[in-house]
Amino acid sequence: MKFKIIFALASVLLIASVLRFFFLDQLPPGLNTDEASQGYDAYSLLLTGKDQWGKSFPIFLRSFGSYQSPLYTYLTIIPTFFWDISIFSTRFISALSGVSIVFLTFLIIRKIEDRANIEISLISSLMVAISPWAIFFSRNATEANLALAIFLGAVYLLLLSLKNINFLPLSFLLLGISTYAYHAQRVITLIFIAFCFFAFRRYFFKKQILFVVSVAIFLVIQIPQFLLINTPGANRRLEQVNYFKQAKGSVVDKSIFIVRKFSAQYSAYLSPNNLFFNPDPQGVRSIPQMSVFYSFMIIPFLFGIKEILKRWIDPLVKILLFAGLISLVPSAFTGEPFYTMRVLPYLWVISLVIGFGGYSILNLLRQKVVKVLALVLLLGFSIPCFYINYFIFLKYERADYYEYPFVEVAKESERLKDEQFVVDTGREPQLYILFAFYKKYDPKKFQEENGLQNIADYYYQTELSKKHTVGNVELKPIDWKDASTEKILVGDEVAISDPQVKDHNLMLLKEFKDLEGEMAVRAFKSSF
Amino acid sequence: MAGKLFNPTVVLFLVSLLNFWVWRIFQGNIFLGVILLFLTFILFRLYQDKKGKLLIALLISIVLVSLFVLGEGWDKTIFAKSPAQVLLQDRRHGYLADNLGKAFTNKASQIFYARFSTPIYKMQENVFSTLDLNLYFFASHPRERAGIDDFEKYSFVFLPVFLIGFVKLLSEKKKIVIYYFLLALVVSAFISSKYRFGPVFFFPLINLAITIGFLYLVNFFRTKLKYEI
Repeated sequence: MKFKIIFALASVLLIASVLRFFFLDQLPPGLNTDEASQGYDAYSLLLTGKDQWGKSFPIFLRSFGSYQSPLYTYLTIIPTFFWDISIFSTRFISALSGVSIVFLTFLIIRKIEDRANIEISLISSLMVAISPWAIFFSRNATEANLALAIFLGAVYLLLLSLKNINFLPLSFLLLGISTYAYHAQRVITLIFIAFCFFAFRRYFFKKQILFVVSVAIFLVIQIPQFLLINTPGANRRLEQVNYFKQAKGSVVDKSIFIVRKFSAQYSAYLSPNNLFFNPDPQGVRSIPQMSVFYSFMIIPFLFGIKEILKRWIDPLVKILLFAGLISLVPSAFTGEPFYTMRVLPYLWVISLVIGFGGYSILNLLRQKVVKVLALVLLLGFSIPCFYINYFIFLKYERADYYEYPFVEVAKESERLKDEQFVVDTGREPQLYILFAFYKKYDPKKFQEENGLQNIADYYYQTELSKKHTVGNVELKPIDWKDASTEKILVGDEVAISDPQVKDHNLMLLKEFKDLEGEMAVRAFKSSF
Repeated sequence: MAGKLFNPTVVLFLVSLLNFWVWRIFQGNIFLGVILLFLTFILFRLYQDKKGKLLIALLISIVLVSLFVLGEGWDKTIFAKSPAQVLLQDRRHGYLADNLGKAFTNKASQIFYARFSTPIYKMQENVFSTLDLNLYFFASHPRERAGIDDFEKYSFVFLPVFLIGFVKLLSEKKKIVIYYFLLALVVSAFISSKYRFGPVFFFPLINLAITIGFLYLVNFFRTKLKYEI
């Protein structure tokens, strides 16, 4: 029996690993600028001990002025050390986190007080392994995915601590660390700790010393963040995305506005339409024609709600549901509709509900052969469906978000090392990072050419400069004075229109196409 | 008086009338509004385990509502592709052919892709658009739909009550509710999301869920607080 369980779990983990690591460096095609920033910062930290702007081991990474949580980047130093700066090393931590989440799902659900807990945990981990959201965010360098993996590790240790209190300090250590993985995790973790304290207060009261030690460990880990709490570095992201400034009128009017807006944002995540059909509106966070779950999963989802209600008395079920529902709170305070990356713990809980439902449906089937056939059908439908939408459609239809043409421009600039390039970044000043990444540009030189003038104000520098230099490439809004010097100008049809080509006597050198074969950007030589 | 106020039928009556949806329907088509109210009450009585002639009344009401709704709201675009859809389908045809080879270019796949994939997708789209809480409580905010006159059907304060009622309905597993829900889904596959009154087949179900949720809360507070409401 034990061999069967290990075999089943190993199979699930194999499926999870293949779906997450298969062609990881090629799909998605290229890197989006956030990923490239994480990868390049890791490279810079590895080689110089400083981030791209010249700050030594910052608590929050400035990146483009939004100050990311640091943990993902710091952990990426490890794969970068082994495999050099590359798409694979940049995404490795997220893919590994994705597989860990599947394994932790099995461990956590096994703790349910149910004689069928092994079957339920295997089916739940399979659901997480094949769910589109879990695969998608594991194949991008996603901080939230790492945060979820660490959070689930903490939850598992917390569950162990209910039988053996010695696990509690470890749990709180991980909870503390998880707050450095993703901004929203700071809020989720605090509410979660408060809930656990309330739910298990009698138990913790009997083990006061270890509980106090655990809380102390958590608080000590928060000190660096605490010291920066009044800087834009700590709060920039919330300031950028909340809707409080939109509230107008009297206090009552503003309160109603905020309550209504919060409720609308919150319930958008509960809607089956958004969960099972209508993808995240932002292309960079979604798969064409597919939402965070397959459409057919609504059926086990409905069965799963009933199964969860049957087990409502189990404290584990309560903890997991609560964790899922509170993880929507930070996202509900932002104006972006159905921002899937912020609610991964919630999506994980939905996967569990689907897993429970899957178990319920399989239970209706009497014969083992029929059950196995049902599982084979499930995989036989889900994986090809995912393959078509992700491995085929996404490659072409989302290539824009991964700036595929600029990969080619960066390679061209390496090939023509003696030429001076000017790349238009008027509308996208962050594009410089792709060149730094793909050219594996020396971080020390980058810091000298582009680093902050006053590093002491690191956590206050929220505005990104519009001009950057990466070796022989200047990235800035095109200044037509450049057309009178011997440079190669690169831009799309908006930056360098056909009339401008004619007016400035530019000579077309090369067209860079996207994966659909459409012209994306062009390189011109000035005829000086 | 208080006991009469929390009479289930009275609560259902109030819920059915104290929403923006029914008045919008009345404004546009008073007969449809009346039939939907009638359908709501029949469904509720059947939920309370009353049977017999009510089943016949339910079926007749469903047929009448279907005549109104499918007559005006039939989604003509299910089997007719817009130029943008044709373009997308052609492009994707190329991607699939390049990447899947014979697995896609064989006759069966080609027929399925050309004739069935788009209608199936559109019908799914119609079905899932009705399974959106925000459609009913927030006029689809924050995911408003372009070209569609979304309107708030119920005040958002009813949302928590609805959710409680929905969970209670799910746990009770009453066949009449399940069959009605499935029927509503099947019919909604063929109704355009631009239909001016929205997914009216769900009107009775939502009223039912809100009523049950409300009664559950009243009972909960009566028991917990031992307070005579």
